[in-house]
Amino acid sequence: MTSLSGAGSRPTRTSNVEKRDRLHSALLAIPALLLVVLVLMLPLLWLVLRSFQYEGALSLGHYANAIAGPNLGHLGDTVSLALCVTAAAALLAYPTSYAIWLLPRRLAGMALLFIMLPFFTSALVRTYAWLILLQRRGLINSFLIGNGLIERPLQLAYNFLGTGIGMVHVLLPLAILPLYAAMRSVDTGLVRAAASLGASPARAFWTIFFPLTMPGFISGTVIVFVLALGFYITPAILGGGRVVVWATLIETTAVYDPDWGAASALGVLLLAVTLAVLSCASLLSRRVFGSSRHA
Amino acid sequence: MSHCNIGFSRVLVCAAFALVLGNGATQAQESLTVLSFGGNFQEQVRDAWYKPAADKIGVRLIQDTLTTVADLRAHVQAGSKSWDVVQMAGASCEAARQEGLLENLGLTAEQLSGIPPEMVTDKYVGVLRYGDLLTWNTTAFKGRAPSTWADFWDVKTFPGTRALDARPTFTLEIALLADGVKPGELYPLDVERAFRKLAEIKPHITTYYTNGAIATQLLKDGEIDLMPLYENRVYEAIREGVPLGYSQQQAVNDINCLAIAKGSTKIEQARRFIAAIAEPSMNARLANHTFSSPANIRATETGVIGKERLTQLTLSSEVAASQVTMNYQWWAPRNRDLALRYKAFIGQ
Repeated sequence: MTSLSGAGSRPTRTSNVEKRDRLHSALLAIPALLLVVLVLMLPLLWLVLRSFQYEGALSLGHYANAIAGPNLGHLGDTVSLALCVTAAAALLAYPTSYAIWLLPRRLAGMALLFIMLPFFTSALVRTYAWLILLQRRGLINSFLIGNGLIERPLQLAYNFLGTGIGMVHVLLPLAILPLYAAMRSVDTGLVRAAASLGASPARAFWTIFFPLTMPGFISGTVIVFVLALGFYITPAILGGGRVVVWATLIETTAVYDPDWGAASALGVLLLAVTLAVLSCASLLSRRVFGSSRHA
Repeated sequence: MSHCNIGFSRVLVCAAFALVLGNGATQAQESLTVLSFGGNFQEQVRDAWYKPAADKIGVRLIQDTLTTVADLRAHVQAGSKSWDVVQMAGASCEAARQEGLLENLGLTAEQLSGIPPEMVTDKYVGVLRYGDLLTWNTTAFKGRAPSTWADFWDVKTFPGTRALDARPTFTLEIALLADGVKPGELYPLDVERAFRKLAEIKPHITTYYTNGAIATQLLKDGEIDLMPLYENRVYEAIREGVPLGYSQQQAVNDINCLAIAKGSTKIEQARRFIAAIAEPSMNARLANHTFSSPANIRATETGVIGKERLTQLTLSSEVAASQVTMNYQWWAPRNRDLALRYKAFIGQ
């Protein structure tokens, strides 16, 4: 593994010119960094501080409330929904990306366009589109009943299933894109070399191609998982109130609780879970892929 | 490039002039920023009240929107002073009063005459009321029509898909009325009994709606046959041709209040604006523009409201005695806990 990825790395030549270029590009990032600090980090810091102020004193009271009662169950539901969505997205993304990768360049561009187009459409619109498809008198149920396949409409919307379907559709492009990029960067000569050494196509795929695409696969699935954890619109609409996820819990708390600290604590908890997942994933991929670099 | 820059600076100079001139022109008439829920509803309220009231007291009307007390809370806590008058639902008004998000109303009893005393506090005044009505798709129930909340629970006589509000306000009241609690004995709500009654109907609820627009759409699509729905939504959908039936029996009525946002720099104008809207003949105008009812009991005597509308008003119906007015003072301190409990209940 290490030697394989080492083959793709740049020769180590650090001239003064290169150092200066790096400094310049770092300077270019300053305005953006300032913006991030100003509009993202500072409010976030404020949020964290508020979550530790309970009834005027420094305390963990908001956190005690946040994990009290049925909330832990909601957290469990949120994580299991995110896991299901991620698994489905991963299973769909790999064959899709592989099929696109096999296509001739021009057709692949077209196929990617079809994946990107819904991606550029608002998640709200896509969620409502799914509602129209999935509801009692929606297209899917009408089709199934019309063809005599079922007698009573299936309950596809306003539950865990419908929410999952909608979320997979909304998040799928985010799994496909890094994966496809990873596939594109695979040196096909390596696959041919494996074949010339007598590996069957399946063997060449599983020992050469698949491991080389893993970094893209992992980053895609991690992105999907992290976004699924904090997803609001789709569970709120396709869940019909019956799917309580962390983000809708934050919304309810923020609306009804006069103390922002309560909703802040919920937000900080979600952030902590997200960061934990991210660092686990990065640790895992570093351990598995050694020095290989990935997005 | 340079030509382009000159062009741009000219535009800037012109814009600056326009700003200065514009300011000069508007200083002659001060503005008042008024907030409501947006959408169709706000347009109707603007035509019925805001515009004529602003004209009457001689201010220029600026409109903005808010959804719940949370928006006002964020606004006040940010130290912003740009909002003057807010229109909110009953429980939000009371929560805002208790959280200190409102200026003193400072209106005399004379200025508010005709407004029922329970709708008047030191910080806000109720200016309209609307009922939550049992509503159904008439194509779903040929023959016998449901009429009470007990019928909503009666899934044998009235089979069909059902929806409920995703919030506990209205919903707990409805459950208790369905369970046989008399309108006069509803408050303080027996929360445990309400949840027990809700548990009975829960397996038959397809979805829980988060706002009136979604609820109306569910009826339009034929997705839901039976639900409680706000009366203005009911009448609007009927006007659009949706085949709906509704019952005014046991309607749960809530109010909208007007109040002055904390930090407003135009408290005097805001007071005059609110007084103008509370006054019977102006208050009555609402009935001609929306499907809500004016709060002022003398509004019906002003002759402003059309005959047909007068008979539609929930509170003037023959079954008014079976109806209840939501006790938002009871709700305000309990809303958070009950909202979370109800959310967990429907998510189980």
